[in-house]
Amino acid sequence: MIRALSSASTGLEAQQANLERISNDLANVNTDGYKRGRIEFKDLMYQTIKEPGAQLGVGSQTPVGIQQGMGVRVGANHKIFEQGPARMTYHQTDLMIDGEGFFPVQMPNGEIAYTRSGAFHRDSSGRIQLSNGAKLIPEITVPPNAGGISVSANGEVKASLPAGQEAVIGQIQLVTFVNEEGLNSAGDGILKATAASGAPLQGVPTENGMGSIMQGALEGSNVNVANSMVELIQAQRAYEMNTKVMGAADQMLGATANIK
Amino acid sequence: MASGIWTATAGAVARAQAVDVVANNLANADTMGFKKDQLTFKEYLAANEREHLTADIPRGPIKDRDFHPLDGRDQSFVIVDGTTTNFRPGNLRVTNQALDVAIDGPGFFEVSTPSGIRYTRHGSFKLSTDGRLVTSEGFPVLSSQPGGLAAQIPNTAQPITNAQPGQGGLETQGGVSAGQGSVAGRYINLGDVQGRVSISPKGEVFSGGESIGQLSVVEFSDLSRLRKEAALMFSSPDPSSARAAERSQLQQGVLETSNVNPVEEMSALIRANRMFEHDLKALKTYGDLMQREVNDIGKL
Repeated sequence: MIRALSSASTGLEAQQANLERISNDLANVNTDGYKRGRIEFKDLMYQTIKEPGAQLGVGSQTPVGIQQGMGVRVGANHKIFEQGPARMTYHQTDLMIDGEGFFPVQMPNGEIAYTRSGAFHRDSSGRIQLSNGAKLIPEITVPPNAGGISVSANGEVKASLPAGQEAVIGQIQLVTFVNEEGLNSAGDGILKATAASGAPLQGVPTENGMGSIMQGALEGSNVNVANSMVELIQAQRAYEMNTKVMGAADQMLGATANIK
Repeated sequence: MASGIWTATAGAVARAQAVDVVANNLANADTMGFKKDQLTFKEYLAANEREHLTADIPRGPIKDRDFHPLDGRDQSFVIVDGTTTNFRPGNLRVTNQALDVAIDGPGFFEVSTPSGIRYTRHGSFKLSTDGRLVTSEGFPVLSSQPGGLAAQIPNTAQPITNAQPGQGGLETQGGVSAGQGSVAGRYINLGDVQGRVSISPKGEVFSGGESIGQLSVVEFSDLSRLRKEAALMFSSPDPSSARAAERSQLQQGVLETSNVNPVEEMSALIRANRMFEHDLKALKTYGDLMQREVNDIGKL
């Protein structure tokens, strides 16, 4: 019965982690480039009291064993990199990746990171960077006299110059990962490569399965509110039922203690 | 001394175990691919443990009990006889993830773990750094035959019994060079292929139009002999009893939820809880009787 108490508490812990994940998703329902999370539960080990299929004698075996489980644990918690909806902003330096890929950026501390949120800006010298100061790799500098920039689907960046000409000022590169679910989320829409994600594979947009670039749009959050609410209900009820088990186990322990 | 007190105790102990099982089932009510456990109780008749005696009829007045000399062994205790895993299919939840696969039918995926081949119905797969199809613990998922569909080898989809886990290096994985007997030869390698992964109902894995291999789905004639292990894995005491799936189909982008039905579990909990109270009541009554034996008989 003590096991019932601890199994129920593992259930509470798991559902709490689930609830925290759901609340983080719902909090980021309007965060551009946000990817929703998913929690995978796994059952804990089993205590085998009687082995199924154990020999009872010549030619006879126990048809079923006795195995008692010990509850649940969070097996994995990862992001789902499903495409988010396009949100048109008509802002020149807002770039959205339609399909696979991440923008490689260099953080202010020199570290290389990756992002799907393409809300870029220009700094004082015209370099394209994110609002947190991370610069696009390879670096693209918009000339001070440029009227505006245009980005084609394959990542070519052109600036329109005063004389009515256009000049190519850079080429946006995208990277993919063998296992993008292994990326480490660092907040701010920034993802970092890990041993699990593998090394980044660089490529040009629209080539080799890379997505295309869309200028003047941002990728919205891929959180599905209806799904999240259903998950919220499930998590809350599952939590509640585990507390009920705890209550029943407690009642039984209390009754046992009061026999005498 | 009243031996019935042990019957009540046996009942209380069995009910407590029932609550443990309900607790584990409910804790896993949201665990994808989980299969719930059920307890079976067995009546344990002490009276059957001895031979029937021929009635030794005494001279003098005959009473009923002279024909049934049970000497307090007529109680039937209850013990937990076994836990059975209920393999009823869970509901399906659409996730639209390319590497989420649900089995429609009684089959299991084959997974290579450090302690041997294990079986699971939890089809939430991932890609490892080197592009292999793995479970979220990182254990490689196996194809039904080495080397992918391109290298058709007769004797398809027979489970390999003499395979050693961890055999073979990375360079042989997914290649025909790994040989038929090796588990490493049955790893599914998607790494060097770009493009969308699609999985057919028969388990054939395609990536970018190229056939990679066929997911191994096996069925067992006797599910009750599977041993439950942690992390949604099952082991079989007799791996050769696994045979290629005939009645199972795969669905991509779908996961099977836990087959725990909260209504059933809550009613099982209430039942176990109340029956436990009944047993304790009986226990207490025996206790009161004994108290009266001690205190009141002397007063007569």
